[in-house]
Amino acid sequence: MANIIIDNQQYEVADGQNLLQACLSLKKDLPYFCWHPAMGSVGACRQCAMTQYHDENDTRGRLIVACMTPVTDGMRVSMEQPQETEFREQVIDALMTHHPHDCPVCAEGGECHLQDMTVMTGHYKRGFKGKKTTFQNQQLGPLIKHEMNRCITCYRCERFYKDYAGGTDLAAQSSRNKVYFGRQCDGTLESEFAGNLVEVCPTGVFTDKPFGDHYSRKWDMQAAPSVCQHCSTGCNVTLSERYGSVRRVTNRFNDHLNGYFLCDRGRFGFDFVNSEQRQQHISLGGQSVNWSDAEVQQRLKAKGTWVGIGSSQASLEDNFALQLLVGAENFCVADDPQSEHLLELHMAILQQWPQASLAQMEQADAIVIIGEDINNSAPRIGLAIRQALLNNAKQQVKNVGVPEWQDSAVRQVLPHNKVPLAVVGYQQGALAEQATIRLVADDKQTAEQAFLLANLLCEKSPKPRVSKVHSQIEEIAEVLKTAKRPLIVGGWSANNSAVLSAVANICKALANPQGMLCIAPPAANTVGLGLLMQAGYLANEAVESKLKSEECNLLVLDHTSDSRQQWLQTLSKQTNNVVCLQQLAQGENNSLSLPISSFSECSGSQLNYQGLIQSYSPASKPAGQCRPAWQWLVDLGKLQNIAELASVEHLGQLHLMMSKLFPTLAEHFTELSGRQFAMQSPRYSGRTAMLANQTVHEPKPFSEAGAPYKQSMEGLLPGQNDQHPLAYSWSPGWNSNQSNHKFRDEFRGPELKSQQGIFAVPNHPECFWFKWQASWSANTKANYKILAVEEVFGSDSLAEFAGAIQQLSKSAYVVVLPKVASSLNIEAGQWVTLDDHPTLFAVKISDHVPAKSILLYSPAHEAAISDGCDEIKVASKQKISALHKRQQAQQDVQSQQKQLHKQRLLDQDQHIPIQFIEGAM
Amino acid sequence: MTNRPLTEHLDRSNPQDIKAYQSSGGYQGFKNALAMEPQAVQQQVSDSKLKGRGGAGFMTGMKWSFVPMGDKALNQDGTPQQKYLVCNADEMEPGTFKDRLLMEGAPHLLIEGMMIAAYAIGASVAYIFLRGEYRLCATRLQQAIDEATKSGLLGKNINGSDYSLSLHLHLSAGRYICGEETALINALEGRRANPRAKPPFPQVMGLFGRPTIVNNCETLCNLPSILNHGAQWYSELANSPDAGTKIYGVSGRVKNAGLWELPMGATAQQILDLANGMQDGLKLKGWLPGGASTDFLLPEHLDIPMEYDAIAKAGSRLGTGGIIALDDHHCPVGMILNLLQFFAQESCGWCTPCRDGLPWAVEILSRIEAGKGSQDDIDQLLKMCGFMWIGKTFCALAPGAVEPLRSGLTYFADEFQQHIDHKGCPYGH
Amino acid sequence: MSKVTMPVEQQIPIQQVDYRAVLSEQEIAAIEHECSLYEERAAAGIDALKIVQDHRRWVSDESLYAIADLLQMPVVQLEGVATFYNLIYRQPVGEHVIHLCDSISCWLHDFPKIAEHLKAKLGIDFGQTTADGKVTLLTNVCLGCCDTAPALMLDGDLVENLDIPSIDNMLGKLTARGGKND
Ligand SMILES: Cc1cc2nc3c(=O)[nH]c(=O)nc-3n(C[C@H](O)[C@H](O)[C@H](O)COP(=O)(O)O)c2cc1C
Ligand code: SF4
Ligand code: FES
Repeated sequence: MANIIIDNQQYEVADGQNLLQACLSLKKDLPYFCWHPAMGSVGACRQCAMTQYHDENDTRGRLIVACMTPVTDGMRVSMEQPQETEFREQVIDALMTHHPHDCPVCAEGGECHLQDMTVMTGHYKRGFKGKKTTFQNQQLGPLIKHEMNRCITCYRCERFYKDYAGGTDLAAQSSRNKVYFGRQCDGTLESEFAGNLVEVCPTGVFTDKPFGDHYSRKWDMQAAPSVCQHCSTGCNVTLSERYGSVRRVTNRFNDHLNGYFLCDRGRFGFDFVNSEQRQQHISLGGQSVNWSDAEVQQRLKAKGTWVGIGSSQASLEDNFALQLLVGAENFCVADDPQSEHLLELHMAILQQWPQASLAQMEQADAIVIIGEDINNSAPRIGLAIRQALLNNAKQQVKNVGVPEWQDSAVRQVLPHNKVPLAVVGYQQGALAEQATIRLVADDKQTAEQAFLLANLLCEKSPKPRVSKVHSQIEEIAEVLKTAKRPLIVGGWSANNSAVLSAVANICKALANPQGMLCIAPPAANTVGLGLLMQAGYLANEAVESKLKSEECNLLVLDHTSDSRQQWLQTLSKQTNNVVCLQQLAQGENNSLSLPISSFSECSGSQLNYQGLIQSYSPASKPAGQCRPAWQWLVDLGKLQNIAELASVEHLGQLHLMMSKLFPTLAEHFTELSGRQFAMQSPRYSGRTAMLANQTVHEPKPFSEAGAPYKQSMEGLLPGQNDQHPLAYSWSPGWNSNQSNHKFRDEFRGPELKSQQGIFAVPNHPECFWFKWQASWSANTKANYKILAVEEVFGSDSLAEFAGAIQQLSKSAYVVVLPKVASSLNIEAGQWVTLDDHPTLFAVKISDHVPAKSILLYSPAHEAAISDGCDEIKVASKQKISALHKRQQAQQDVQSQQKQLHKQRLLDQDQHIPIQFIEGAM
Repeated sequence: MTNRPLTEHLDRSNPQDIKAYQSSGGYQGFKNALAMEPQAVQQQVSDSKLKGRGGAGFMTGMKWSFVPMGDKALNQDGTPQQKYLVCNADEMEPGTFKDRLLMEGAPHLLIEGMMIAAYAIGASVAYIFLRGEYRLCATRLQQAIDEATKSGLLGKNINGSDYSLSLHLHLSAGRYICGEETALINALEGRRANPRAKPPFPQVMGLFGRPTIVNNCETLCNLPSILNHGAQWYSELANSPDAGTKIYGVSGRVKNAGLWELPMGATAQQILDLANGMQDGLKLKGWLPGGASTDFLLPEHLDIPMEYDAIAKAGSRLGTGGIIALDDHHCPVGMILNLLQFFAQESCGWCTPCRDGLPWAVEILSRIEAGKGSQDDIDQLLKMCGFMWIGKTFCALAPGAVEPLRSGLTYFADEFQQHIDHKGCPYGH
Repeated sequence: MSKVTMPVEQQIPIQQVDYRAVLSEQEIAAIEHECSLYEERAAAGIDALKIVQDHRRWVSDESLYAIADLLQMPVVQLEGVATFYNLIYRQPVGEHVIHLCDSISCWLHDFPKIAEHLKAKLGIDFGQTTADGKVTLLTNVCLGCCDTAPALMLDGDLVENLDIPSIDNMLGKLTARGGKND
């Protein structure tokens, strides 16, 4: 701690930080632009000027910029003397010499950091009388809109995009007062983190394009704290709603997980909730029907065993209700035996090894990634790992007395102070390219070598059958032995349980209490399903035989993957009563389907990769007949006389029941209940005006039974309780997301802080070795083994229902070794076919493909392909032109849909059904 | 012994000839250095009281002393750390052309100076950062480097010692800010030449994050004679608190513009006399003592010794020692506008006051010069001077730019007023 | 075999250029030499731009992509460098490039008059190229010729002590002798 004197008042602040951080921690309003808590200081904008004094006799002092000044014990500074306040006002005046003052038409207006800072410095009159510069804007793709004239040259965008996120296609260009931030030419921003520019830019240069198409001011929207649905990281997000449609997702600050940043899949993928494909009515064989229809009732009350199929995309509550309804012995947790096995194993590991939060991972000083393309499967974790790569450079600057938040110094020494990053496996991508040690291996070799690695670290660790240790593995072992805070990363991507076992064994073999582990499961609530599994489940392999042997009905919880659809098709041959609870109209035909609310329309909880329980709350009310799945299930429970379930009236009761079964959940659910949070900002103007064309009565805001959130201005405001999520970020004087600083007591230091929150999977400290698995699922005799790879855009079946993501999704491709390409006489970019599979694949060539294998990416909604293939052939001209036609048609449909989608949403704004809001009648 | 250590070797006809240079005592200073411990060389330079000639006048020996030496200069694996020496030959300050003279006329002198400096700090690679427009310098330097390499003075194990040095010439692509030492380092790394924050100082983390010394060309050219004739001899060359000699110059409407090597502390009057005074019919109205980024002085200041402290006391800076003389037929407002245009154009665009303040000042000055200014504009200009002053900007470019403006506003207040009152330039510009 | 390219919608302007297809062996060798002088390849970026410009007068988009490819650096980063420095031309220039010094010593030596004369003679403004593509006229900051002001740089060489006759003489020679590359 350090004692410092600001404007003659003494304060105690944490040392090691800079003066700007200290002032913000003290809740002082010190303006700034270029500094960012996650990106450190560079001192470019000069907005955070203060005066430092030598001692109490020094009356003149010396102007400093706070963000570049380390806090030292006994320092004397002022923030409110004329010299610095006047200067800070002048800085705004100078920044505004180019700014077009176009707030009324700017999407940033109302939550603009520049607006806030302008007001904060007291600047109100333009001094500059000359002409302003006009820049040309660029087309940056479907996600981001560019309006360069609003730029104030704080360099944040470049620093985030290039330095923080490793993007290679955006940088500062030109010089003097003509500095330009953009790409070399028009084109879609390549980084999967580009969306953060919207929040990183302190003004309206980079704005959210889909949001801009269906725009609303911040103060006209109500916001709900929510959790991202697009991977297992569980990033905290805010949903903003108006007129019943969710307009956008923004980052919801969480120090331990997503911090200040999201990936674009999360930011733009949410739009599936507004999709045309949302099912709004009960349907039978594709026809709308009613709950009370005889056939419907008959189906719902059908005799025989009800087999329930859970979903890793659905909430804990929904899955739990299903488990209650059908009974644990009839509750199936996975679409195939392999993922069921992975889930079992995953839970076993989770019980032994707490998994690192993202903030902790950022502190690693050695990283080993085994068989996982974390960049594509859980992009935000990849971004955290990227930050860990800086740690040696940070240490290096600290050694010469420079604080680690001085970002440019750290980056100067980065090239020769790399944190070791080892990548074992076949996954490609940005992190693999950064690897200092890289071993290209197929899934089997990966697992074998990982087991050998564990064995090198500790002899007791089980060995696989092979004994040849690759030199890279020896190198990795050495790195791991000397590292203070090593991080081991694995995951489900290789669909290989041996990888999971190996990763756990490495942790045990390391026996480093500071060692960290991260295993990324595929979906937002995979671990939640794993938790319920502890109460018993029906083995996947038994489902089919059960259907065959008894009279069975299938009750299926929503999941958008193709593998689910395919499996259901197989199963539905064995039963003629399939009831689906689904949000997106998918699949078939003879089933009865009940429309359910999306995550934006109801409350729910899920467990992230760590088993951390997090809850989301609704931003809007479901349309049509949609209801939360658990409510349908309760009604089914009533029909089927399942007493326990039938008595449930609201979510709180379900929570109580869950808490009894899984006591770890109790604390979270108790905390959740009974609190009220304001979801409309104090400036919310829509409340009385929105429906004025239809009624003069002020409608009652809708509320969900048992939900902790209130859709009104009443309740806890942001910042009143630091234990709880903010529905939106705001504090007096701070309308932009930078208001988050007002709720932080101090900024994250280098130390490993334990994560707040409740981990639902109980830890059993004793741990055991995992055995080498001899049975190999992916053995193939084919010429080429097929190894599946993922893409940020395209591999998440849910996000594929969002228009903007769809536009970015790549078409199928294969990656082959150069020698394979030349032997087959194929070139990069050509189209090929694999055996007689109908899909055409674009060819990529890379050295980092395991021998005798090809890497294959196929979009989530295209038919999956088997484990191997014998022949790669250049596609025939007919096929290619057919593909082009199809693509063309698809694009036409897409752009048409985009138009229709926009129109539909705009129409909805005009004709908002009045009964939509309770009490309006 | 000479009293013109910088220009004694000046040879306009065949300067790159290493034999000629050696026969007049060239490379003896380096040989002396090589026989000493690096720290002893540093000490000798400290003792000589040599101050950097790049403009800031920082003690050269002291600057070197921050470079980690010996055990402190080891990598984690125990190997010696890479260190660099860089010669700052960017010389883009308007009114400054001294380094050009030295490099065109005595390239070996610079190379020898660099060898001494590199040896003293333990650098094995050195770069000359030369402004791209100096093509003749480039040719001569490259020839001289090649000759020195051929004769074993550069390269591996120089003169049988275990000291090795490779020296490379880098031609800049033109940008005044590259002269600022940390921006120069960024430019050498192939980046945009934005300055870097200090600390860390380049002496500890410079080029490619390694310990680096950046010295001005003229500074380095002083070293051979210091090593040759000793520190005391050098400091006694000048009859002033500052040591050695300095290349002074004058440009503007004088009869015989040029450069002269004089003991530190010569007066501007002496220099002006060497230039044969102002052109016929013109009177001296004001002068900038050391390049475009120094404050105006008046004819009454001509007798002040041109050394760092004395000039500072008079309210300006010695800078590069290149005097720019303003005559009474040229408009001071016009001159200031020209200077500010230069700085506005050359701002790197990193920090707000400079990037947006300088063009703003230019906008105001242009209006005043065109007779469209108002009293408010003068007030605004005065405010801008404070706005871009030391501590408010990231580097010294903008404060330098402000110097002629703020002194001009004081000394030529009448002229400014006339522009406003008469709605036009009294000089007919 | 016919090569099938991506459909138009997916085709992106220039994205990836193989440097071997664009740069000459000479250029590549010179750039590789520069790379050998620095710790990092990207450090040779400015030198590389200058080398290519020496061969082709200016740096086209294609050249830019090729250099980035050769140096294994993102093209936008190289663009950031190319557009930062004054002496890299990212637009075509004429056969001859005149940089007239517009800084203070030259200003004191009749810069306005000289500039007007040059512009009138060439019939272009600063930043423009004559219609026949012969001459591009640009300004330059102080050329370090303050004692021999006014001065300009013609195709990289300094021309000092300018006056109206010497300019006429110089321009006359330029048009008479034709392009450097003829
Ligand atoms: C904007 C700016 C431009 C500069 N230009 C030059 C220059 O062209 N040549 C030079 O030697 N120093 C220049 N300097 C000073 C250098 O930053 C640095 O102080 C000098 O090279 C150190 O050398 P010295 O210690 O030998 O004087 C400049 C400084 C600034 C702020
Ligand atoms: S003062 Fe600021 S903008 Fe100007 S050159 Fe220095 S860092 Fe760049
Ligand atoms: S925030 Fe401190 S200088 Fe920009």
